[in-house]
Amino acid sequence: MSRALMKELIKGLLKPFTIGYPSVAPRKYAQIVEGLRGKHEVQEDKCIGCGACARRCSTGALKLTDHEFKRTLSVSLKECIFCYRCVEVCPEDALSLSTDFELARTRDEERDLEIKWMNELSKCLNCGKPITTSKQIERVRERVIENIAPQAKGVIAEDLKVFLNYCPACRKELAYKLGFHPAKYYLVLSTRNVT
Amino acid sequence: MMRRRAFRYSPWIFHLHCGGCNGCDIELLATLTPRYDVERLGIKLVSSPRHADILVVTGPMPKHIIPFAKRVYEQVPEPKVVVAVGSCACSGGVFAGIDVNEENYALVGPIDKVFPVDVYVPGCPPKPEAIIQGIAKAIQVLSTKAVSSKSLRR
Ligand code: SF4
Ligand code: SF4
Ligand code: SF4
Repeated sequence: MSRALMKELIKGLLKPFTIGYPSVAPRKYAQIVEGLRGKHEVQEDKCIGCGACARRCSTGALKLTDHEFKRTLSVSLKECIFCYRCVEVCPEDALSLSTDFELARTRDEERDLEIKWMNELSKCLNCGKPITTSKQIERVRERVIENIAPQAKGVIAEDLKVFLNYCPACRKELAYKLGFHPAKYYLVLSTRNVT
Repeated sequence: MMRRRAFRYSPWIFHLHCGGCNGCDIELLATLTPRYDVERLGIKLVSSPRHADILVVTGPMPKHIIPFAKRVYEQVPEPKVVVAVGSCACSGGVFAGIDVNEENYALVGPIDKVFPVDVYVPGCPPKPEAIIQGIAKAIQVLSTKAVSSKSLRR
């Protein structure tokens, strides 16, 4: 008999092998392995409502719906397969999967299996249509400024404050009027390089 | 009272596989192994729906299985409880595609479109412990149904 088998046998004789799962409170025990994927945990203050998770979701359990300047994200645990893709893709680390696996619900308690959170959408200054969430706009501004060449930083930071308040269609229309046509930045970048 | 106790302590389950990838079925069998040992709770897997109290359904219900599934459902004596195990049985899961309401040529999707489901156990597949929790919930539902069921009164 191999050694490993002997070890298992002795272990089985010394300790009960059965997991006493549905026993009462102080002795309640379940085998929770490392990396067990259970119910979603959302840090709503961290989420910027970008919708990356909804796009990546394998089954369409994580949905994004826009309604009157409110963006609602919802996870239906009945559809979710706990594949971790939404957590992987979230740029703000707002999502995580906890080890809470006790998700069985009767028909009356079904509401528990829906997780919902909201984000505000911002309004285009010109046409009044929703653009995207205010938090995402703020985050885009920060990231753009972080990654831009130092000589153009000042100009672009100023322009972005105006630029990001318009929806993509109005940005095109008003590019010359408001003075943020791309040609301007080429100019800024090239002249500074020469001198 | 006796009736309520009787249904609380000895639920027999019948396992109905409706499509699916077999993941849930293997987990369900794992709950019957000595590791989880549901027989210590009086839960027993029976081989005929006519003996069962709880019907455990897995899988996304392909269209050609509907008549057979319905027949099995009707064979389970009242009061009965249906437990949908896995995302497939709860909503169609990976097989149903992004839009659950979209017509699929092969699948119906959630089991509750075919017959009423009492307990949902999400997960793909759910842990054996989660299945045990689902069955524990089903036992509660069963004991309330046993009291109110008309078919049992003479
Ligand atoms: S874990 Fe997978 S299936 Fe569940 S919400 Fe995230 S991406 Fe969708
Ligand atoms: S920040 Fe994360 S959780 Fe929020 S919408 Fe984007 S990907 Fe989803
Ligand atoms: S829920 Fe997942 S593991 Fe269970 S049958 Fe469907 S695909 Fe397979």
